[in-house]
Amino acid sequence: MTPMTIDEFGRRLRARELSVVDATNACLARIEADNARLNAFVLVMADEARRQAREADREIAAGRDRGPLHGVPMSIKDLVDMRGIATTAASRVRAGHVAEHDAPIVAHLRRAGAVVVGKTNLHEFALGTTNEDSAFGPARNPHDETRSPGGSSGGSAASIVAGMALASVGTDTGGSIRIPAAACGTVGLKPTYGEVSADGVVPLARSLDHVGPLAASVADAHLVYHALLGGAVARPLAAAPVRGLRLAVPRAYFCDLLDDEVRTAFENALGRLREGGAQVRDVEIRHARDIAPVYLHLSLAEAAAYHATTIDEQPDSYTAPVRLRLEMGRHILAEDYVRAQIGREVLRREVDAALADHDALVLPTLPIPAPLLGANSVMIGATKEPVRTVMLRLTQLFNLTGHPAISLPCGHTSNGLPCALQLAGARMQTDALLGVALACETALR
Amino acid sequence: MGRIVPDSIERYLAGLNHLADPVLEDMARTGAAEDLPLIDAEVGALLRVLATSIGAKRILEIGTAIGYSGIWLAGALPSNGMLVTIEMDEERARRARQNFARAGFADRANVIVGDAKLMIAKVSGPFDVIFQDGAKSLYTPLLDRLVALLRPGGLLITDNVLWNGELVPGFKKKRTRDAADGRAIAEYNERINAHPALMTATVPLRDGVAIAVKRGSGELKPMLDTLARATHALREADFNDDASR
Repeated sequence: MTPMTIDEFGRRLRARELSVVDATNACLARIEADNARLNAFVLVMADEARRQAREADREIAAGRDRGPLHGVPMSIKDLVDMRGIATTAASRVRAGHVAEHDAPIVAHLRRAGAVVVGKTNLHEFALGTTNEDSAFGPARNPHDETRSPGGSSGGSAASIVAGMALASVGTDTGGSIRIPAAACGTVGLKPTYGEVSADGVVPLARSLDHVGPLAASVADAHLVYHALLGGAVARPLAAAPVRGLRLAVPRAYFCDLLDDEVRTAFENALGRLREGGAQVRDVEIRHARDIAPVYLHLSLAEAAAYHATTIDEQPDSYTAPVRLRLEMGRHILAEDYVRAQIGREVLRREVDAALADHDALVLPTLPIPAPLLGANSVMIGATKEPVRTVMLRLTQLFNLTGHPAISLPCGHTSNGLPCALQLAGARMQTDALLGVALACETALR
Repeated sequence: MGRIVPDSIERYLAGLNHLADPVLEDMARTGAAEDLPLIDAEVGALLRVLATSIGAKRILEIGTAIGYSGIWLAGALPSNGMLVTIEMDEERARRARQNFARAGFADRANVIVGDAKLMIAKVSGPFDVIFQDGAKSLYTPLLDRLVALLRPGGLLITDNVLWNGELVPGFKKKRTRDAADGRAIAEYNERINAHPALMTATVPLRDGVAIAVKRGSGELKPMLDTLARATHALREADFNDDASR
């Protein structure tokens, strides 16, 4: 399963070896063949995609090249507004909704020439890491259909790995881009907080919500990220050399609770980066143990505020696990929310300090391989841990602090499930982080 | 007076009840003189105990009359709490407002005049306690809406569910109450005791009081335990030194 990259598609398109219609039809054929199994898409826009593809081909023929995303078949998480189409958020609560406008990011993608093949499945209202609680049923992991693709942007990650789209747009409030990217073996980027517009995206927790790309490679993630910014076409990504890269591993807490095979894959990756000449040192995030309580109080209180009316008026329209988490959020005191904000600032300074002398933090993305669908807990060594808590453990910090973070594949378990490492960089330096990620990706290939 | 529990027992219980105040006692005398359909002080005390025990902040009452039961309920509310009470009769509603003011609850009692059937579609939940003491023929038709207005763990309390014992075959030789209402209450009793969202117990106090708790709070319990542990950890964390730098 090696999906075509945007880079490769672009080369072949411009060499006239492949048309946009060909590529779009290939994605639609994969959807036709496998979506019943994987449930990655909640809406397939075949006719509209073919129309856009023909138009993109006409433009290329007429010499109008919109840049690297021209004609690229993409999927979009169904949390993002597209004019005239329901934004379901994978919830029955949203029944009857029709978006009046394109979200700015959708408008940016259209201008960049992307072809939208459909909207992808997600954990209801993005409030979960497994994609199991969805009004459309769970999306499934293309590597093993009995397993979760991760979440909440599970359909987005699955759509890339299964060849149904070349790239996707996801959202990330506690890891919802990086977790499914890790579970499915693709690349997922959470940019710096606030960089990419979240307007027209159903909020989960506004102060933690990020929008970003999932893609088959770091270079592709870079291209989609720049398209989402809506500015000028991206300059080609310059890979930083691995030699001399200063990487910091936050060992305590972040490496305390890891599946053995995930740990091995991570340590092997660090070994290869060292062999390539990277300096890898340990650092400490002193308040790491406070991350989960800080995150819980901020995320659930903000989510409960957004959902207050619908939880009162139509509680039974939510899946039970999501409804219960939202109700839990209503029991958070304002004083604890404020305490959590103080904790968040402390954590932000600690991540800033850890990055002061390093190009990036490097840590695993997910402590476990993709979990079985239906599992509430998972064994890590001899201890039984709740799936949701474990899945959020290594990603949620950077939602709290706003630092850009990217997940890239770094090997497999013995039964073929992807493992991933995560790199986090300085705030507002997302391009620099992408450069580091490209260097690491090349070294690990 | 009671027709179900022996009079001597009821007199004994009434003698023990010291929760009433001069306003309530005066209203009870007025009620008896005018033959108004008021609850008894023992039921009033039960209402106040139940509402207090679950920390009620929002209470809904169907059937205000002159505000007697409402004052028992409002006495359980914190100063920022609210009793919403619905009365069909304009004149009784006016008297109820006066009585709430006399009892010092003008700021937390909202008397709505109108048909409960229509008005409960307009009020929004969730309520911690709902006291159903309105038209008996509407007990069953209003049930599902009232359950929807109740928070999980909240109480639906219903008066007159034994209807003078007349809905129990063979208990009374001579019927004095409206038989159609009796049949409506009997149907309601079946419904609340079998309702999937309710857990119900009936107390044969005075005319019979059904107390039903809305299920659902149990499933939230483990979540709240998790939250409590996280909140404890958050409060134990030493952010202050760092934050003050």
